[in-house]
Amino acid sequence: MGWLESRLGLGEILRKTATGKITPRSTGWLHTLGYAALSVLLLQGISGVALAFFYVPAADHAYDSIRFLERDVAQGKLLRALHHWGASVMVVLVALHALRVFFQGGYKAPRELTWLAGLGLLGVTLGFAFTGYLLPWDQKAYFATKVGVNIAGQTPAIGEHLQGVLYGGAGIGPQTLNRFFALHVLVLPAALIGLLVLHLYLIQRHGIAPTRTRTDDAGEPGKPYHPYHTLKEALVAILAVGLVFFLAWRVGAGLEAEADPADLDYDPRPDWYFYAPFQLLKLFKGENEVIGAFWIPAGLGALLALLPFLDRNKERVARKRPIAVACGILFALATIGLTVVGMTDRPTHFATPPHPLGATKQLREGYDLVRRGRCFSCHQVVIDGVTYGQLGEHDEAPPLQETEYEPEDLADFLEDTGMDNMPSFPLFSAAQRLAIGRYLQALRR
Amino acid sequence: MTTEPSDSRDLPTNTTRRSWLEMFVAMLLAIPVLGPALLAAWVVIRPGKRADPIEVMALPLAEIPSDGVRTFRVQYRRQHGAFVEDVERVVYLRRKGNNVIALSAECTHLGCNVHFDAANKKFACPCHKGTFDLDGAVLGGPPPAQLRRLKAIVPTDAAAPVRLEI
Repeated sequence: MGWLESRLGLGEILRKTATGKITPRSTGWLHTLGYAALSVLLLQGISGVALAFFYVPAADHAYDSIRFLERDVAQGKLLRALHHWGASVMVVLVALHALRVFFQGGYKAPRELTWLAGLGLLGVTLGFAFTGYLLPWDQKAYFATKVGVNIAGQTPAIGEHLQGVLYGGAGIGPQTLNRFFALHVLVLPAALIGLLVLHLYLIQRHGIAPTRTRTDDAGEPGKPYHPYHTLKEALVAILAVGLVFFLAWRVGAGLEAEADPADLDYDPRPDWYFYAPFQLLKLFKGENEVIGAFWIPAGLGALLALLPFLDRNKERVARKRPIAVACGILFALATIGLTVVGMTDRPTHFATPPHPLGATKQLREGYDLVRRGRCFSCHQVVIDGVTYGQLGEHDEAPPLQETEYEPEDLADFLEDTGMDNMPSFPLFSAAQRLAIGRYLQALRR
Repeated sequence: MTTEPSDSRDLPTNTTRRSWLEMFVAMLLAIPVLGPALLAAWVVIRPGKRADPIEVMALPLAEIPSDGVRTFRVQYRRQHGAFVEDVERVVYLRRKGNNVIALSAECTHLGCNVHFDAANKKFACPCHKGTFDLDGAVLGGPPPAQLRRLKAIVPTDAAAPVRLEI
C-alpha cells in the first residue's frame, strides 16, 4: 500500500478533497439518497454491459435474443430483471434526492450549477428509461415508443423533424431500434458521465449544504465525512441495491409478445413512472393537445432549471420560504395524483393475453400461433377473471376458454373448419395445430 | 496571465494581443473536434427522403359492408433505413354508395391502433380514450384530427379488388 501510495498519491488527494472533509452538523440520513442513486447507477451500468453481451440490436433478432437470454441462459432472467427494476428504483431515488434538495433549500447560492447538473441527470435518467423500453422489441416496447416519439413530435417548429430523426425513417420501423440502441448505450452514457463528473466536482468544491441556516451562514461543523457519513451512505446504498435484487427475484421483468404493429387487441401502457405525463395527455383535447404534450412539461423543466435564479430568498428552513415550499408540495401532490389516476384509469378489455413464459415449449408455441392466427381479433378469452381480446364483426364467436374440443380434434377442425365466418388454417402444420389445441386446453383450466 | 512580470511593462496592448492569440489557438484546437462532430450531426439529423405512395390491393366492393366496417390488413414491403421491412397495417373499409372509405387505424393523437366498437358503431382508442365516428371524424377525447383517409380506387369491374394508396 505504501509503495502504491507514494507513486499514485490517491489517498492523499482523497483525504484533502472528500473523505477527510468535515460535514455540517445538519448532515443526516436524507443526505444519503444521492449516493444510493449512484450505487444503483453502477448496478445499471454493470448489468447493462452484461445484457449487451447477449442482446442483438436489430429488429429481426432483438426479441429472439431477449427470449434466449430469459429461457436458456442461466440466471439470464434475473440479469434482465435487475436491469428492469434498477431503472424503476433509480427514478425513485433520483426524484427523492431532488425533492430533498428542493425542500432543504440546497440549490441556493453558490450551488446553482450543482442543481442544474442534477436536473440534467434526472433528465438523462428518464431518457435511459424511455430509450430502454424499445430494445426488447415486444408489444409494450413498440407502442410505448410510438406514443413517446409522437409526443416529441408535438414540439413546436422542430417536432416533425425530431420525430424523423428518432424514427430513422418514415414512421416507426426496424431502423428506429438502432437509433434507440445508440442513444441508450452511447449517447446517454456519455451525457451521464459528463454531468456526473460536473455534479460530483461541484459537490467537492462547495461541500454539503447545511440545512437549517441561511445561505450566508456556514452552519455548525459536524464530523468528518469518512467514516461517519459514509457509513450511513453505505447502509442506504445496500438497502437500495437489495431492494432491486428483491424485486428482480420476486417479481421479474415482463416480456410481452413480439412487436406487431397490426395488432388491434393491444392496450399500450407505459411503466408506472410515466403514468403522470400519460394521464396529463388525456386531459387536453383537440388543438389543446400540445399544452399537455409540450408546454406543461417544457414549462416545468424551465421553471426547475431557473429555480435557483428565481428564488433569491436566502432562507433554507421550510417555514421561512412558504411560496417555494407550497409550490413544491403542490407539484409533488399533482404528480402522485396523476400517477394514481393513471394506474386505475384503464380500459376493461382490449389487452393482449399474457405470454405463458414458464409453460412448456408446446404451450408457448400454441400461444404464438394463436396470436399469429389473430384469434383474439374475433374471440375473447377470460384468464383469471380478466377479459382479453375483442369481439369483431361476428359477435357469436365463442370465448376461447370455452372451446370443447380435445387438442387432436381441434387440430383437425382448424385444417378445414367448413365455416363462413371462421377461417381454416391449412398452412399451419399438424404439429402446430395440435400446439394450438393444447394451448386452448390449458386455457380451460 | 496578466500578473506575470514580463507582461506588466506595457499591460494594455500586450494583454489584448496575447488574449486574442490565446483565443485564436483555442479555436484551432477546437477544429479537429468540431469538424467530425458537425459532420456526424449532419448525417444523423438530416431529413430523410419522402417515400413515394404505393398501391395495394384490398377487397372487391361486394365484400365491403355499408352498415359497418371491414377490418383489412394491408401488407406491403418498404425500405426503412437499412432494412427492407414487410409492413402490415390495419385499415377499416366501409362502402358508401359506389365509393369506399378507407380509414387508417392509427389514432391521430399519438398513433395507437383504434378498435372498432361494433355495438356503438364508432372507433375507440385504448391509449387516451379518443373516439371517432364511422367517417373518422372526432367524437371525443384528445385526437386533434380525423382518422387519416387512404385514397381508394374503385375499379369498374365489381369483382376486381379495390386498390388503396399507401
